[in-house]
Amino acid sequence: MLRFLIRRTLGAAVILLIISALVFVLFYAAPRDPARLACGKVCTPETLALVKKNLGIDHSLPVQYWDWLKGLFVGRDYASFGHCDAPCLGYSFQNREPVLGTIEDRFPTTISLALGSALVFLVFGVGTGMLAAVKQGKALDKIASSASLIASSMQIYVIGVLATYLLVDQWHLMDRANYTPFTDDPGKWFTGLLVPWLVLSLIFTANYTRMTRSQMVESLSEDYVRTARAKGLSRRKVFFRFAWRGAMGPIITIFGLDLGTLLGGAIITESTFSLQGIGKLSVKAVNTNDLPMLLGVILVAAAAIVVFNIIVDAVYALIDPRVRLA
Amino acid sequence: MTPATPSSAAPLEVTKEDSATSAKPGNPKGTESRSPGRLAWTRFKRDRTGVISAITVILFFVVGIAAPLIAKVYGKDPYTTYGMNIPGLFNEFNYPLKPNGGISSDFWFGIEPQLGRDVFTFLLYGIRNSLLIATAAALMTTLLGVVIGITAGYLGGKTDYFVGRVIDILLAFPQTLFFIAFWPVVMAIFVKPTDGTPVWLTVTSLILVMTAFGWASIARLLRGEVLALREREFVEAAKVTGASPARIIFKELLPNLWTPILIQATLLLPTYVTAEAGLAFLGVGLTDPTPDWGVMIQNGAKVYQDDITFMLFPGVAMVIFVVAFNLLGDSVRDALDPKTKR
Amino acid sequence: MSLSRRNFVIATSVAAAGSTLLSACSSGGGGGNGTPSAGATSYTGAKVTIGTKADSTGPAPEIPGAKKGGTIYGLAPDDFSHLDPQRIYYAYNSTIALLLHRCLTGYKIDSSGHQKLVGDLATDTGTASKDNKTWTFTLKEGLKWEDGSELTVEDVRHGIERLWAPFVTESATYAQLALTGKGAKWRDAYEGPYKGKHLDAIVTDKAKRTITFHLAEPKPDFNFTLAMHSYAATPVKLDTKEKYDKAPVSAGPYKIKAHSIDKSMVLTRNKNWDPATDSIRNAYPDGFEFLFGVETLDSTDRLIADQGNDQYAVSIYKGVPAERIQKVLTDPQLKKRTFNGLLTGTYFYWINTKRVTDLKVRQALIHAWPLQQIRQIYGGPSAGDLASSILSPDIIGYEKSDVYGKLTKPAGDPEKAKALLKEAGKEGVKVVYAFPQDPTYLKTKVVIENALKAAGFTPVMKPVDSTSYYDQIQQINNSYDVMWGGWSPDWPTAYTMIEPLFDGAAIGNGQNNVSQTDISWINDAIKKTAVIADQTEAGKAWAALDKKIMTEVAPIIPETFTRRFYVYGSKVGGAQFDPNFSATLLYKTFVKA
Repeated sequence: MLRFLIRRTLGAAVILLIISALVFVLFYAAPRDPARLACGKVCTPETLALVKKNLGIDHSLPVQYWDWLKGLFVGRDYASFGHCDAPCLGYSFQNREPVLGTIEDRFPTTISLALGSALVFLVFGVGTGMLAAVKQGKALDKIASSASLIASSMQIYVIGVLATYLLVDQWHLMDRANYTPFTDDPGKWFTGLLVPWLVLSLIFTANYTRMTRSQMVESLSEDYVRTARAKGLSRRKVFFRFAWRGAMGPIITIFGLDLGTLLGGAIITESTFSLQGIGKLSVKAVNTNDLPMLLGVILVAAAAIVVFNIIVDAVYALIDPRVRLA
Repeated sequence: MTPATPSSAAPLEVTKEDSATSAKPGNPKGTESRSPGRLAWTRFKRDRTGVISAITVILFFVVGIAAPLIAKVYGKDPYTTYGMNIPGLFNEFNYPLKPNGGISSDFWFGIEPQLGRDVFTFLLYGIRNSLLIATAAALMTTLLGVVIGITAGYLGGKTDYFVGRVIDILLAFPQTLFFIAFWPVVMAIFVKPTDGTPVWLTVTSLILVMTAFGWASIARLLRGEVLALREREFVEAAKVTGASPARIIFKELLPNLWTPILIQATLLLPTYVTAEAGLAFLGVGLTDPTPDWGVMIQNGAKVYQDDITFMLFPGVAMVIFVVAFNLLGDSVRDALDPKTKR
Repeated sequence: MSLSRRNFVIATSVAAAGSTLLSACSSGGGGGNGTPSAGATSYTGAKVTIGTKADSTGPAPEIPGAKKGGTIYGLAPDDFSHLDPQRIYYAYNSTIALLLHRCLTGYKIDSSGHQKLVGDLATDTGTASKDNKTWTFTLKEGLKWEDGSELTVEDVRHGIERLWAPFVTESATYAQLALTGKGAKWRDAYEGPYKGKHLDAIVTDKAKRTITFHLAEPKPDFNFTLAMHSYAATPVKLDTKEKYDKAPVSAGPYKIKAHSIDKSMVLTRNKNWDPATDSIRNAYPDGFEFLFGVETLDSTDRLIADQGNDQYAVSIYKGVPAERIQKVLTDPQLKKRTFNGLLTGTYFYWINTKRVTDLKVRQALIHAWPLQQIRQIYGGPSAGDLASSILSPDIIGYEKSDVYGKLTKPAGDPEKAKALLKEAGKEGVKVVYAFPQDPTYLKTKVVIENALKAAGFTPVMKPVDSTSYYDQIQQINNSYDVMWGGWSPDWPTAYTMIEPLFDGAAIGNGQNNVSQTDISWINDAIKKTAVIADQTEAGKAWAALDKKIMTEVAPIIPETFTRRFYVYGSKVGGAQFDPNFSATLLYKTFVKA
C-alpha cells in the first residue's frame, strides 16, 4: 500500500508539472498581453515595460516559467510586491495578492458547496436507486427513474435561476445563496448554501439513482446472492448484508471522481449563485488574463482530481480484495 | 457540469437508439435463424416505453436533418429579424407585443425578444446544429477511444505505459476551465485577423476539442477489458494457431467488446448535447447568429421573468430529447441483456 | 472616466449570466422619447458650471428628510481594482474614491444632477495667471487625515509627485504632461519623490497654505484636471508606497474598517473629517458595507426582491441590465425605486481612415449604419439617445448637430449610401467590421451586416476576443475598417474627447486615435481651442470643430448616448445618479426612517 501511494503521488506530481507547462505555453499562444490590463488607459511603451517589470514578466517565456517553478520551492522576489514565501504560486496580476492566499480564501466556499451537495446527491441518489431496485418494475421504480432522468436533463443555469426566483424571491421559503464560514455561524452557513446544494445535487442525483439501480439489479442476480437466498436468509438480510456491497464499488469510483471535479470549482453553479469559490475565481482569472491565478486554480483543480483518483483506487482495493493495487 | 466525460464506471447502463444496428455486430457468425440480434429485436418491440422513446428520438433527428426543408415549407428562416423589420410585433423594449411570446399563426412558437427572429425555425436549426456536433463528437470520441484503448491493451508494454500516462494527464485536466481559458487560443491559431470565423471552423474545432478530451475514459475502459480478454483461452487458442494480431483484434477481441463500446457511445450523445449547451453558456462554441440549442436556452434563462415562452420551447424540447434518449438506452440494454430485466 | 478597457473587460465575464458589456456600458432602458408606458424621464443635462468661493465653503447643503445613522449596503460584481488615489483612473474606482480621497477641486452636485466645479481641499477653484500657465490654490483650514494629523499643501504636492513612482502605472497623465511639457517622455523629467527631491514645477507655501503649479503649457481648464482622483492628496508621512493601494489613508468622511479583497469591504465614519471643510459630501450613514462578486443580473434581482438588508442596498456602479429593464420600468412601485442618467461619453464606430481613404465611402458608411436597430437591441429608446455628433450632451458647449440626417433616418439610408458609393466608384467594396465577441455585439452585428449588404457593401464581420479587444484595435497596423468603441471625457470640457480621439499626435499602438485621423487643420484647431480661457467660448469653438470634423473627415459613426438605470432598496433615501462616474452617488444616500 505504501509503495502504491508513493508511486502514485510521484506520478501525480509529474502530471501537475506537465499541466502547468502546458497552461503556460497555451496562455501565451493567444494574442494577449496581461501587462496591457494593468497599464491603464494611457499605455505608452515605456509604461508597458514598467508594468512588465513590476509583474515579473519582463523575461522570455522559459525564464518566466522557470521563475514560477522556482518560486514554488524556494520563494520569489518581485520588483513591486516584495518577497513571496515558498510555496509561491506568484502574485495575481489582477488583485496583486499572493495567489495561494486568494485560493486558500476561496477554497472553503468550494469545499462547502462540494461536500454539501455530495452528501445530498449521495443520500438521495443511492437511496432512490436502491428503492427502485427493490421495487423493480413497480410504479415507485418508474417514478424514481423518470424523475431522475428529467432532473438530469436540466441545465444548472436554468434551474438555478428559477429556483432562486421561486424559492427565494416569490415564496420566501429559503435564504438567498450566500456563504458564511461554518466557524462563524453554522446555521447561516447551512441556510445560505441550501439552494445551491439542492440545485447542484439535482443534476448529480439522477446519475446515482440510475447507477445504483442498475448495479443493485445486477448484484441481486449474482450467484452469491442467490446462494444466500437459497440458504434461507431473508430478502431484507440478503439485501443489506451482501447485495449492496457488490454494488458499491463502481459507485464509490464515480463518487470520488465527481467529488474531485467539484472541488476544482463548480464553475456554472458558483457563477449562477454568485458564490465566491474556486470556480468563480477561475472565470475571473480567464477574463482578466491573470496568468498566475489561472495557473493556480488549474493546478488546484487538477490536484483535486488526481488526489481523488488515488483515493478512489486505494479505497476500491480496500473494499474489494479482488482488485490489485498496481 | 463536467462536460463530455462519460463516467468510466458507468458501463452497466443504457444503450443505443437503433437496436437492429446495435445488435448486428453481436452476431458476426449469425447463421442461425434466431440470432441473438433477432431475439433482442423481438424483445425490444414488446417494450412500449422503448418504442415510444425510439420514435421520439428518431423524430428529433429527422427534424434536425430536414430543418431547411421544414423552414422552406413554413416560409421563414432563422436569421431574419422579423420582430424588427415588421412594425407592430415588438413593444419599445423589444419584447413581443402579443401574449405568450408573440405566438401567432405566422410565428408558431413566437418571436425572440430583442432580435425578433422566428423561434420555430431557430429551434429547428438549433437542434440540427447541436445534434450534428454531439453526434459527430460522440462518434469520433468512440472511434479514437476504441482504437487507442484496444491498441494499448493488446500491445501492452511501453505503448501501454505511455498511453496510460497520457490518459492520466487528460483525465486530470479541469476541462471546463480549460475550455474557457483556451478556446480563444484555438480560434486565434486558425483564423486570420481579417477574416470572420467561419461557422464550419467553430463546429470542427468544437468537435475536435471535445474529442481530444473525451476519448481518454473510453480508452481506459477498453484497455482494461482487453487486458482481461487477452488472457482468455479463446485468444490464447487463436494465438497458438498462428492468427495475425489484426485477426485477433478484429475477429476475436472486437466481437466481445461491442457491448461496452455501444453503451459508452450512446451515453456520450446526450452528454455531449448538454455539454455543448453548458459550454455555450460559458462562451465557448457557437455564437449568434448561428442557431444553437444551448445558446437559445441560455438566452431564455435571462429573460424568463418577462417572456417565459421563449425559454419554454427549447427547454422542454431538450428535456424531452434527453429523457427519451436515456429511456431508449435503458430499453435497448434490457433487450440486449435480458438478465437485468425491468 | 473613460468607457474603460478594464471596466469593459471585467464586464465581459464569460460565465456570468447577463454580465455582458451591455450591462457594463449600455445597460440602459426605460423612459424617454415619447414612450409613455415607460414613463418619460427627460434628461436634465448635467452641464457643469464653475462655482464661487461661497459654493466651495462647507458644509454641504442638507438633503430634505435625510437623517444620520444606519448602514447602506453596496452590491457590485467586482471589487475596486485600486484604492491608492494615484492609481485610480477608471470610473468605478472613483465611486469609492469619492468617500475616501479629496482633491483640490471637486464637483458639487445638486439633487437634480446639475453640477458645479468647486474647491474641495482648496478654498475655491483656483486662480490662473493670464497666460493660464500658473495656477495657484489655497487650502482650507481644519483639513485632517484620518489619524488626526494635518493635511497640508505638502501632502497635495506629494500626491502629484507620487505619479512618478515606478509602481504607479495606471494614472491619468494630463497633469504630468502639463507640468513637464515633455509629452510621452514625462517620466524622464523627474525621478519621483522617494529620493528626496521635489518637482520644480510645484511650489508650496506651508504657512500661507498655498500651492502653485508652473505649467509648461497653457491649460485654462487645469482646475478641472485636478478634480481627477489621480491628483488627490496623499500624506507624506503615512505613505506606504506599493502597500498604500491596499490601505490608503482617508481624508474623506469614511475610512476603511475591513477589506476582504474581492469579497467585501466595510467603511466606517472618519471622525477626523470635518463637515465644515466639505461643501460636496453629506455623509449621512454611519457606515457602508460593500459586497463584491454579485453578478449584475443577480444584484438587480436582489434589489427588486427588496428583502432583509437588501432594503438598505444600492448597486454601486452597475445599472439594470437590459433583461430587467422592462420589468423595472413597467412596475410603477418598482419604478419609484430607480434613478437614471446618461453616460458622460459617446458610443461610436471608428472608421480606419488609413484603410478607408475615400471620404465618400466613409460618408456612405455613416448613411448606411442602422442606429435604430442597434438601439433596439440595447433595449429600445430607454437604452439611450441616438448620437449624431462626437461630443456628448454633458460637455460644455455641446450643440446638437446632425450632418448626415441620422436622427431623421435612424434606420439607415441605403439609397443615399449606394449613391455615394457609386460616385466614388466603390460599389461592393469590402468592409471589415471588428467588434468584441460578446452576446450583445454578436446581436448588433446581425443588423449591421444586413444594413451594409443593403447599402451595397461587402461586409466581413470580425469578432475579436473581448478581453483583448481594445489592445487589438489600438494597433495602428490592424486590418479592420470599422471598429466598435466608445469614449468619454475625463472632465466635462471637449478637450478630453477631441484631443485623444483626433489629434495626430495621439496615433500610436495603445493610443486612442484609432481612426488614425492626422489632418493639420484639426491638429491646429485643437491646439488653438485648448488655450481659450473662457470655457463657454471654448465650448462653442469645440462644438464647431466637432461639426467640421464630422462634415469634412467623417472619421467615426456616432451611435448612442447611453442611458443607465439604477434600482435601489426601499429604505434607501437620497439615491441619485452620479453624472461624472455614471454610478450611485454614495455620499448623498441615507437610511430612511
